[in-house]
Amino acid sequence: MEQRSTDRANGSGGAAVIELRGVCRVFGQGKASRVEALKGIDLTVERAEFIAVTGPSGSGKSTLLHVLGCLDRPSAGTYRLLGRETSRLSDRRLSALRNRQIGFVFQAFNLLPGESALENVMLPLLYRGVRPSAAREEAMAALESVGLADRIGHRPGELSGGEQQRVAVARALVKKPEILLADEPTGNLDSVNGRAVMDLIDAAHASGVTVVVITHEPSLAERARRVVTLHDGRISGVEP
Amino acid sequence: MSDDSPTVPRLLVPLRVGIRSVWRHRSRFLLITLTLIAAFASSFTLSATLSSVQRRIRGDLRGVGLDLINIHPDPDPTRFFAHGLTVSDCERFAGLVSGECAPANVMPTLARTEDATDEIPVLALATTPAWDRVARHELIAGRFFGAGETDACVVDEWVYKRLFPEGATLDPNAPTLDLLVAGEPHRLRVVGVVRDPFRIRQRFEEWDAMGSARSHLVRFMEFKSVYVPRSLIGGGDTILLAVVRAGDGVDPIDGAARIREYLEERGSTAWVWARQEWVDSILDATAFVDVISGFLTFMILAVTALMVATVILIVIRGRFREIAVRRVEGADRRQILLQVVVENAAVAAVSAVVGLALAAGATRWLGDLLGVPVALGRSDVLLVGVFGMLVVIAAGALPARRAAGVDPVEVIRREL
Repeated sequence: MEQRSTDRANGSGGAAVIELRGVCRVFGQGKASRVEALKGIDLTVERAEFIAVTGPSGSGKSTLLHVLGCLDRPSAGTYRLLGRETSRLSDRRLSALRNRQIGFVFQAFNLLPGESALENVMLPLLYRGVRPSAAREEAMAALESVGLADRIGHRPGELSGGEQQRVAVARALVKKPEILLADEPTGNLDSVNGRAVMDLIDAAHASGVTVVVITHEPSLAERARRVVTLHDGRISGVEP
Repeated sequence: MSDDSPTVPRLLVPLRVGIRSVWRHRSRFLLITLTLIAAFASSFTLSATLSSVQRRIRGDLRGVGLDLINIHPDPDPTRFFAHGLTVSDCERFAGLVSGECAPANVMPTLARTEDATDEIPVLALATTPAWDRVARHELIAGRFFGAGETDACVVDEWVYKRLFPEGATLDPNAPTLDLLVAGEPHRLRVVGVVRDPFRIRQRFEEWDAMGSARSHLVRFMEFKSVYVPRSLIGGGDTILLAVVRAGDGVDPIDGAARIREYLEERGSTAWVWARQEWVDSILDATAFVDVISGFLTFMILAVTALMVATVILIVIRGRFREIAVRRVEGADRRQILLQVVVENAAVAAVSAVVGLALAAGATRWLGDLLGVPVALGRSDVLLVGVFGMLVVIAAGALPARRAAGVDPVEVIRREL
């Protein structure tokens, strides 16, 4: 059963965007504090695929997302992103990958509270070196695309939860990323706002973005083409 | 990877983001800015005040006549009367240094106004017209007495103002004063007024603080009050002191050595010293002012740097989430480090400019208070400004490293 799950987790053999082989992530040292969050994960995600990662709390979903997003490095195993082995990349290269190829959407939105919606969306473009005037234009277009053209000057504290998450989606998509990683994107939203945010993620997927969503909500997981279930740091099932 | 090519060099991004961050979050930097403004203002003011006083002292000392050599008795009472100086010695001194010598006797006495409404103790310096050529005192008004003028005198600015308060215009033509010589009053015409030599007495009178620290010898030598013809006190061959001007091309220190050698051969106990030596020793002694100034400035900025480092560290701790978000969105560690450094540098630059403006006002006020023109020199601005900026940037290095070391995953997990 586990072997079958692994085979399915490795996809259909198209152009792989993400390839994990035997990825482990261990926190702490010594018997008492050692935690194995990921235990030999094999996972392949094809270009423009939409997968959902589910599993109970503590199963390693968020750790997996952090590894996929180059925010964390595997303790063992290999992770190839867009054909490039990431373990040997410097902090600068990994940061550039995050900046150009990976869009993030978090449950807690993670917007800068002192900056306006527009400035939050401009952020990755500024770090990419885009001139502020060009970054502003692109950010405004991104905010328009998520229906927040009239809220660009508002700070996160002046926006509803749904609006904040749409700003976060705009910030993720303004990079024109290869991959969109979403960690419980509707976790802090009501059903209406949750659907709206998922519609935006669906639209991104439809435009060719590879989407990996961490969720424990079945309704969200249903939108994915493939659902990977984690349990105790291992892939315990893949559907369909 | 995307084909987008950056239009701003990667390392310039923190510069842009850092300056923008300071402007957008100025309230966050308010405490640091105020602390730095106070530190810069006090450092600029301290440096300017001490260096202005130092400049003033140096300027004054240069005005004492660096080519002059003083010869006078040893102040030790057991040796005082063994000086044996005579008018003919004075002529010999002139020959030894290819210059000119002015002999003098000194007599403490009383001077009073013609109507005897005021009376003050003065030093009467009995000399010849050669004194004017040798000592070259600056005449504020009138002239020095000439040969054959036995009823004329020259007073210094301070005496003139004391005895003739109404004549503060320093017109020396009209007044006369009575000088007591051997208990007898001698009426003398005041034909000239000389400036208080390098204005030191006037200043010491005002401050008084250094009066007790000054050598009595220096007081005795430098602060003659009334210059009178030698004939007034008899004009014998014995003199008490002489002032010699070294001729062109003669080193006054070498000249003093020659005179010293000559007097030793004669068995005289008189002291000989070139004013150049005296000035050099004073300048050496006042060099400590530079050390004190530098030390105090360093201490002010160092203590400020410690405070600023602490405050920045606290501020950085409150910015972990922001930094984590920036890292997630693509900022690398070096960019975060540079951003914090740029923020600190921007705050330091603004503080330095405001501090400089405040110091400009403070130095003017201090100058009025001390009676010394205090001005911010270019060297004060450059030294304190550049050093202060470096200290603040160094103080921000630790917080900047701390910021650059923020692990976004750890922060994001904690936030959840």
